[in-house]
Formats: sequence, structure tokens, C-alpha cells
Amino acid sequence: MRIRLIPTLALLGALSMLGCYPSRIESIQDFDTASTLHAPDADFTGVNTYAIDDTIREIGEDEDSVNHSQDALVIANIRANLDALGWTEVDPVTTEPDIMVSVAVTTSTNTGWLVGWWDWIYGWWGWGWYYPPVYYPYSYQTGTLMVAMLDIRNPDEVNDLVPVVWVGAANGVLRSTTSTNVTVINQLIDQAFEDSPYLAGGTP
Amino acid sequence: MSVRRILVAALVMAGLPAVAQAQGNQPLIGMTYSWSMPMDQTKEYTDNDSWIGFSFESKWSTGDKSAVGIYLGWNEFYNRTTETLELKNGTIFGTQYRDYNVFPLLLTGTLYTADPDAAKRMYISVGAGAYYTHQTFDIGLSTVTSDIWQFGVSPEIGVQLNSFRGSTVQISARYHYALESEDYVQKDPQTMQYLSVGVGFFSKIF
Repeated sequence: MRIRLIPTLALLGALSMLGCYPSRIESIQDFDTASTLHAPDADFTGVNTYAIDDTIREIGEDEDSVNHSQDALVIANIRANLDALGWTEVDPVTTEPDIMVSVAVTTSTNTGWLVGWWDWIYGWWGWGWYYPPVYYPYSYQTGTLMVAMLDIRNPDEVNDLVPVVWVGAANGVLRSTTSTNVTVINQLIDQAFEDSPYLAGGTP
Repeated sequence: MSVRRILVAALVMAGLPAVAQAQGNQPLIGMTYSWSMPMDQTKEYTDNDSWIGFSFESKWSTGDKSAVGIYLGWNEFYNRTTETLELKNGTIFGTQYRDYNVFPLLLTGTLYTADPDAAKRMYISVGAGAYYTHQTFDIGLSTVTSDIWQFGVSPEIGVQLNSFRGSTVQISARYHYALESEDYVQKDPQTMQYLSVGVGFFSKIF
């Protein structure tokens, strides 16, 4: 009897713990992320000038799916973050910048089916019933806006390439209105810059 | 930790019962439920105490006041946060679900203050062996996992209360410390450290 007590306690304990598990996703905001990547040898010491491409380019499988009516707001916010680093914007036609900033967006549509089960329903005569699984279709569109910094000071002259030294990305599920998407994107881009203090001069 | 070392540890563990039987004492086997508090870098990742902790343990007496044993544990730490996490080549921010499932696999040595038949036995113990950790990092639409093996040590103090018909209640505090590993998703190498306080039920099996 005393040996059986142990597995019984283990089972009761494990069951009681299941109720303590937190939900992983509770709202659409939980899908929003701001991420940064830097080149292993990135060094922003001595960066003083930048130039930015005013066009947000679309890449990926769902091209031409993005509403560009408020691109200027996104570019303006990126400019504000770059200026806050102490960098000065220059015209790349007349002056070679230290860093060239390029902005791109990509979206993808995700569809699928969720399988759910209706609860057991007990008939008045006491016998149990259950229904076959039901299928719920879902579709959502995700988007990522990427801000890439190219180090013009250190080109790969052999292969005629300019290295990307930093990428900030805002990723999430697209909302129904463009203005909401822009607000979210700008907040996430702000966060990406905040998480990269070395951009103001230094190494990661 | 190499597979070879794990196999050697397993073989040593397998041989323990024979050693203990030669001593002519009855082994104890039991289970402990524990509450755990993460510490140091473990706390930085999952700043949340854990109520999910179980361990199975056996102790074979090697004398009236000493024993060797095996400790197999499971502790889970999780936290939901929006803090920025530094990765090896960048950062990530957003609502995250961070989770560690830690499985200590230890050989233990124990010293008691009293004979086996005493109503109350204080003890100190030290365990050493492998810590296997399954790390999960959920953020946005992505999940990153990592499996980590570390060598670790685990000192413990406790008291055994002998009750009726050979059963023993054990109250203990155990500190877990696993050496640094670079296999975690975080930027810097991480140790695994936490303090567990548990109540266990043991019984003689032979």
C-alpha cells in the first residue's frame, strides 16, 4: 500500500501542475516582434553619415500586396532614429555616405484548418454522444519590414559587393487598417534601434 | 558531455545496487515533489519560481550513517515576458514564452547524523552528474529550441523522518549548479542554477 502511494501522489501532482501553465498567445499583439541582426565583425565607430532609399521595396512571394500609401511615415520614423544616433543624412548622388539604408517589406498569407472536437453531450436517457471533428478554416497575413544598413566604407571590391552590417526587422500579423500597421511597425522599429545602442558608435 | 561519459555514468549507476547489497542494508526508494527558485543566469531567463518539480531517488546504505544513490529529477521553469533577449548575433523583442525543462541525472553520496532506526535523521548529501536541459523560446510565430548537456553538482541538506512500517518522509533543500554551456540560445554562455525545496516519500524496497 505504501508503495502505491508514491505513483498516486506523482499523478495528482502532475495533474495539479497542468492548471498552472500560462497561455502562450493571448492577443494579436503577441505576434509582434522586433529583431536585430548584426554582422559578426560589425563596427560602427566613426560612422557619421547615411543615405536612405525613400522607396520601401517589396520582396517575397506576395509582391504587390502591400499598401504603400503611408510609406513616408515609416521612412520618416527610420530617419528620426538614424538622426538620433548622431548621424547626418547626405545626398548619395553628391556625397558618398558611410552607411546606406535600404527598407524592404515582405508579406505572406498563411492558411490552414484547425481541427476541433465538440464536447461530449449527454442525452436525457443517460447515454453519451459525441460528434465527429469539426474543421475551422483560418487565414492570416504576416508581414515583415526590414531596415538594412550597408557599410559603404568597407566594400568587397573583389566581388563588387557591399556588406550588410545590420538589419532591424518588425514582424507580425497584419491588422485590418494600414494606419494601425504603420503605428505598430514604427513602434517595433523604434525598439530595434533601442536594442542596438552600439549603432551610435562601437561594436556589438 | 560526450556519449561515452554518459554511458560510463550509467554503468556505474547500474552497478550500485550490487555494491549496496553487499553491505547488507535495505535500500530506500522514493519520490520528492519540490518547489524551485531559479538563481543567477537561470533567473535572468525565467524570472519565475517553479511549482513543477519531481525527482525519483534511491539510496543504498554503505554503513549505518552513509549511503550512495541515484537521483533522477525534473524541474520546469517558464516565464512569459516582453524583455529583449540578446542572441548570439542580435536581439529579439516581443511577447515571449521562455521555458527550461531540466533533468538532473546524478550520483549521490549521503552522510547521516543518526542510525537507520532513529526517528529523525539529519543528513547532508552531494550529487554530481549530468544535467540535460531542453530550452524552448517561443516568440511571435517562431519557436527555437535547444538541447543542452552540462556537468553539474548538487549539494543537499535535509531530514528524514521515519514513520510507520518502513516509510520515510524526507524534507530537503537542494542546490543545483551546472557548469557553463554555450549551447543555450542566449548570447552568452549560461550556467543552470536553482534551489529546490522538497518533500519526499521513501520506502524500503527489499
